[in-house]
Amino acid sequence: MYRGTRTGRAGNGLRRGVTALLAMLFLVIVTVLSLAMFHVAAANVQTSHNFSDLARAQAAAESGLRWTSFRFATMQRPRELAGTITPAVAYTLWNRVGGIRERLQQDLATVKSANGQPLQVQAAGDTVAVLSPVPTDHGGATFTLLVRQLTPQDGSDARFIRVTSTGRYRGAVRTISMDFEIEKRAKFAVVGKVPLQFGRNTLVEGPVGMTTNRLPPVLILSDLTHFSPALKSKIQAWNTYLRGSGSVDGRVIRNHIGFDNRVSVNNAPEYQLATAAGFKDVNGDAYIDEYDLFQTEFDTNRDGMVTKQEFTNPSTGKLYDDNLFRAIDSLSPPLINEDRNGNGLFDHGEDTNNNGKFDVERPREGFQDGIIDNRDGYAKFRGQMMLAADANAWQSSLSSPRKILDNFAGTIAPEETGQQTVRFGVGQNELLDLNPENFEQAAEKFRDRTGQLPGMTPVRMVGRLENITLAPSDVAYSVPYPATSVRVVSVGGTNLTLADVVPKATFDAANAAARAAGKQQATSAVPTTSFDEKVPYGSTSWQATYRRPVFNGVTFVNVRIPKGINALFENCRFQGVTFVEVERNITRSGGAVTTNSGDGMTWAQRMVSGSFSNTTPLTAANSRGFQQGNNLRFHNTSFEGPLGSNYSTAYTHFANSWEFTGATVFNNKVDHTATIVAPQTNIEMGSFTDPTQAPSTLIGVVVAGNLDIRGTSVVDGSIIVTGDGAGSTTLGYFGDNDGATDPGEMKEGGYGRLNIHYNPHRPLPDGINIAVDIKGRIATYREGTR
Amino acid sequence: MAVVELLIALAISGMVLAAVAYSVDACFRAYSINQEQSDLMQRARTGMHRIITTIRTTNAHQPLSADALLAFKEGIVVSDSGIAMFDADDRPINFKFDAPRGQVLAVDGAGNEYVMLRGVRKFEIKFEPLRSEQSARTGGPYDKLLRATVLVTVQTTGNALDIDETVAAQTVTLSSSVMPRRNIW
Repeated sequence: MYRGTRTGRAGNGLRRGVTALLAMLFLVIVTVLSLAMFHVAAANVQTSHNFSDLARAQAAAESGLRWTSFRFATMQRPRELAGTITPAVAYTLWNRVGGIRERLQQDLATVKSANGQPLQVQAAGDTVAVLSPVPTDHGGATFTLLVRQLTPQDGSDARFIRVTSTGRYRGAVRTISMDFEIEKRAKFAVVGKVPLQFGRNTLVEGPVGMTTNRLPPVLILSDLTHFSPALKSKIQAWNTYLRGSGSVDGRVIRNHIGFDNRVSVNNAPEYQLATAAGFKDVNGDAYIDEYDLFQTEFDTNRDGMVTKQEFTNPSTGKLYDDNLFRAIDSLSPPLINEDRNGNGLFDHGEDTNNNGKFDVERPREGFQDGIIDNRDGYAKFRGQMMLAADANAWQSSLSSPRKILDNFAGTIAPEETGQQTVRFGVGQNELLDLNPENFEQAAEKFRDRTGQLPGMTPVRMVGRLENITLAPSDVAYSVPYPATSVRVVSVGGTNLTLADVVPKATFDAANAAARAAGKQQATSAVPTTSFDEKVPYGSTSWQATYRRPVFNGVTFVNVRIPKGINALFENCRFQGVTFVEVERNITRSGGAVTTNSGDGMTWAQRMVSGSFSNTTPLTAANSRGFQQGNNLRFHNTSFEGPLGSNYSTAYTHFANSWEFTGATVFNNKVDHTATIVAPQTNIEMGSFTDPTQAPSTLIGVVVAGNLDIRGTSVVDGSIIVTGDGAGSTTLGYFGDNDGATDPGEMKEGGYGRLNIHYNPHRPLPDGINIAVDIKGRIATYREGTR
Repeated sequence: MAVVELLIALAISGMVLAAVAYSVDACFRAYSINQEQSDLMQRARTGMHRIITTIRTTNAHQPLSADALLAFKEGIVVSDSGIAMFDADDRPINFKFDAPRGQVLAVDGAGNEYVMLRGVRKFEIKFEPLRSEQSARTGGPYDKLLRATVLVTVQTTGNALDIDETVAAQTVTLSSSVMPRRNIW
């Protein structure tokens, strides 16, 4: 063995073979393990890729849904006259020529795919399909879309459109869907074409829109700076702070970015700066704003509530501002109550929104409970402000050091978390087409419900006029004034109200008091059926003087007021529908029809004889504006139904103008879609001299050529201002004349109050020719196919 | 001499074989650990994906524990070991951490429990509250979920015998955030 081992080749070869075998074995094991580990690692990487791809496909699908929502909002949508979109109306809207299907197809065709070609879009029947992959970024994920109008077979109806978006990234596919509703809504709490001014104690819940580039588009006054000098200086300090800048982590940043005048506790840098400056979120609503300063000032026992006792001025024993207290305590009222007769049962005709359900929203906790606290959720505005005006253009129009922000006082809160509070440069398709002609047919429908209708008996008797077209001679049916009463012609230094009819004894007592105080005395006249009055009533800058027929104490039912009446209605009741006629075609001197508001003013001042003067009483004999327009004043009058007026081509300032003064109230029991539809009429509600009067509730839409409200009113619907001739739409008290922008010191009795809340449950009246909207219903969001 | 040579040869061979054996064992252990990690990652990802998808597509989310729920309604960002919600058909569904058994359970409306993840050492959901439109305008509570951040730590449990898993030797931690689409769009 030894020898053989030493000399034999085989022996040497065997030893080499063992080593090689071991090495190969080792190599094989290591290789197999390496491959196995590579396989495991590769599988892990692949899994990771799969999840990553799925996430990108999911994101692409969501992009598709959002993109479609954006296209629905910005595309040219079809118009519809019906006020309520029923399934039948929606079916037609989708299928008709120029309908949603066609418009959507046209809109999508303007988009290019990744290769620069127009998207391949198929539209037929109930479906619009985007077949080409729409890229979300270069070489990245894509999505395709299927937009389909639903049917009862889907468990829905034709008012709903289902958007199914399929996202793709490499091999990953994700499909999501959401339903959108075709609806027609006013969309805004307030929307107009002239600058919007929101005064003190004017609280708005709902979006606000301004559709033209007129500057400044809005002016907002704070609610909290007029009754406590201490609070005022704190709020001024807060506003100054908001405009300043500070240093966070070595970086200089602005103390606040935005127009909402509040700092979120979740905005770490801004919150850090604000707390360092001594401002706190006192009420714990996650924002620092004016209300925190208000609560600090008046919540003396620090229980989170401001009671009437805490809000009482110790020197007068009265609330600092009773109207403000009530306005805040009345925020967020119930929006829907179909139990109109209050019997708790779903009676015939009570399904006002036509959804087949008995909708009754109970008042929220803390509603009008005599306490101001978090349950009232105070914000000056709660809703998005959408302005067509460009921010840079507005800023450029201001002289230094004024800023745009100076026009935004008070807290502006969005309706939905994450929503931008103020948007500039908003496109017309996102706003509302306020061409007054769009409202002509809606107004005409009110005309059709007045006058001598078939089967209705006209009534003309003292104190009651029914189913008639009014004539100036109908003043004969007025209720006579008491023999001992007088009309106040001038108020002098008394506390009497101009043009009021008061007992002689009251008048004499007021004059005696004025005499004793060394003030000028009032003058009076015997009240008759005619009265000369400067308009606007009580304004220090009146535009004209009207010789009015006076109707007193009359109940009008379904009455039509023809052009040229220009009356004063005192202590009257209007039941049913009331329609006011005015000249439709406003013309230039050459006879051409005009839509220009400047021409409208010239038209209003056109005389039959002589030249126009704002002190010359206008009559049917001397003024064409008087003959063809209708300048009306309603004093201490109640409206129990809607009020309409026909469209005229131009805004005519005072020629077509209504004023509601005294304790004039609206309590519309007839039509919950609209209280006023008067697309070119100038409307003044409330008094220049006593803004606390005229408590009214305006339900549904209020459509006017222009609207100034200075009362104690609630708007449960939408204010739509279609005229472009007025200087501004003023909501709230701004002073004693049309041009005033500062209410000055609070008057005895206060500034009044306005609670304006958009009510999405109120359908529009039929006949308004505006585009429908297509809004996503996020509760219908689903993932996967269905 | 021959014996000595033999002994030296045996010793050297023994050392070489021991080194080889040790090396092979290390390779096998490395492979095993890799596979464990992979398996854990797979399980954690799948579980997380399921939880995130469910939260994203459901509504009426809230923490499970009473204290966390109270704070959540006050608008405070809270963390909890479980979440309650309702699916698209308004059926309740909960995810909760069963700490003693180291499991994340899905619980349906009838109270049936389904194991979603085993070997869970930590399961925590951070809730960022949101006010609904109605609640915001009436000063009501924070009644919706703005965003949830789920954090889960999973470890080996010895259940996967085929890969010679060593109990509690490996852990994987994953975190993911999600905003429920039916709350905010």
